[in-house]
Amino acid sequence: MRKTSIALIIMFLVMAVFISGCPKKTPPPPPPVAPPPQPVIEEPVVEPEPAPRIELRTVFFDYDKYNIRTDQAARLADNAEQLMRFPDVKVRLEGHCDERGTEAYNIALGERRARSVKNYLTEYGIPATRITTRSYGEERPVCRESTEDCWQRNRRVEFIVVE
Amino acid sequence: MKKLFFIAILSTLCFAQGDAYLRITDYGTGVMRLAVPDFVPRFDNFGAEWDSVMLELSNVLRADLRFSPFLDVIDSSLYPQKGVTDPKDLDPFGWTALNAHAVVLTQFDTDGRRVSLKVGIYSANNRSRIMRRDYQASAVQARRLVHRISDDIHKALTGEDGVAQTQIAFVSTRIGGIKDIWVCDYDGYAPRRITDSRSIALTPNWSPSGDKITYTSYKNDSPDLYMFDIYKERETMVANHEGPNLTSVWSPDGRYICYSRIADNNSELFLKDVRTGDETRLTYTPHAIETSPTFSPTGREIAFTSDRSGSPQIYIMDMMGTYCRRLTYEGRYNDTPDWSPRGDKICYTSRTDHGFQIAIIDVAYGDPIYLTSVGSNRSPRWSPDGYHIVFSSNRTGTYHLYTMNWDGSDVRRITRAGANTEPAWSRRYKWSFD
Repeated sequence: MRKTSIALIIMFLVMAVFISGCPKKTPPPPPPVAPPPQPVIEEPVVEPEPAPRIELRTVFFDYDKYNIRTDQAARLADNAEQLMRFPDVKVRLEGHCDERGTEAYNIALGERRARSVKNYLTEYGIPATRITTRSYGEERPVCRESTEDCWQRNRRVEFIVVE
Repeated sequence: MKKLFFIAILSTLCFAQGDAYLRITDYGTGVMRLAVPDFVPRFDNFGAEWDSVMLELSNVLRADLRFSPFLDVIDSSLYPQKGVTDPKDLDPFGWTALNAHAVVLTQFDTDGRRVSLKVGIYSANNRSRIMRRDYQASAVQARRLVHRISDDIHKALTGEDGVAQTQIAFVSTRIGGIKDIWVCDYDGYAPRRITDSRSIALTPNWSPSGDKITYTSYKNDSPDLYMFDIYKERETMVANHEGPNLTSVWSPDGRYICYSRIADNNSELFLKDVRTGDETRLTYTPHAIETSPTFSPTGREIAFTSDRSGSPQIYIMDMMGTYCRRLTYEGRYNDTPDWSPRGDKICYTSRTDHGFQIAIIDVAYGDPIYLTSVGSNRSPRWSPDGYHIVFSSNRTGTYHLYTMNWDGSDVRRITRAGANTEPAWSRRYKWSFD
């Protein structure tokens, strides 16, 4: 019973390819250049938007943690999607920590955060050769106050486009 | 406080070298009280400039001796006599009234380029001689010569080596706000820069012979491990594996460097043979960070930090990476262990509800004692005699280095400029003098 249905589906597919492929030998329908500026709502249409640029966003982490937070998954997925669309771009993932750690441990932790993001990207399908990691621990904070908000901004992995 | 401390030392100490006037292990009369009058010029015509030099050197000697947990130096404004060089002129009644046990008499002489000092220690009540020695050096080395004199006095009176001739390596931002490796004397004097990384340099550590410092630097962009030879003034690369090469520490015999680097995508400990360069991997925990190793004084065991339990804690294993056990259970974040040269204790940084604090823990029994409470205090390191701890604290707003006794008393700030972190105390060595 199942075998026949599979056979039917295959037959149908083969025929479909045959019918669609045969008559017109014109190029595939939607050229990748075609999609016009997608619903860019935030930007008032002042500039006609030059070449599409890659814009990778920083991913944030919990204290003394390196796992990808659920609220960060969307922007990381977006970064991965962009990297798929720009196959020539290479990135360096820079891991950082807040000041509430010891210097050396934080460098090890920042490296692990960067490698955690790298692992996500390679599982997404981006070749590992396009990604390098580096940790600065707590040495390069973006914010120097001792507040939770500031610490959160420092616990991050930045995407640096290297070529 | 000092008295208590002294008694605590007595109970833990089990050896003393010969030839000491007062073997500190022998009986518990308390801290020995010394009188150290100002140095007396051999002639009167050295001039005002030398007068201030002599006064400063006298103060250095008093501060050095006061640093010892076994010695107390009586306030010099109380002394009954001034300008004495001959022990026969000592007034026994005046000095014993101060409860002084001994008086240190120093005669100072100089020809402008060199200094020479005649030092004698005499019993306060019967003027008998305890030590008598002559010293000389070029004038620029005068301060260090006084450190040597202090160590000799300490040895003669207590049978134990002092630490006045030791140095401290540390990370400082005092030039250009950039983290570089610096070295200063144990009292913070004579700071000099070792690296010019123009980036970030971290976690310095001394070789046991005191002639080399290893550290991590970003000078070639990625955090690699370097070694600086202090006498040859030359830097060499030790390890530049992919990822951070961090927290290097020397085995007590100087044969190995233990450090952390990436394996299986995270930080693991490796033992590197200094001579051959061969490396042995010690830890295999792909899910946990390992850093900050420190050798026991015998070299047979290594304490280190691992977050294998979910948070950074201190563990001990043997030098083959086996027989691992967890040492710290109190607190959610314990790191930067340093094993005491006496072997029985480990000091470390512990994160509490009031920021980072310095703690010590007994290796055998494991009850932590917290030594600090004001500000954030981190990266403690033992002095080579195991009686002092140097650490970094932001109690004044900026991170500076402080020294204290291992019971938390006698806190002294030793740095003034820039932000100063990650100290490492050298082993003892005898400075040579021209």
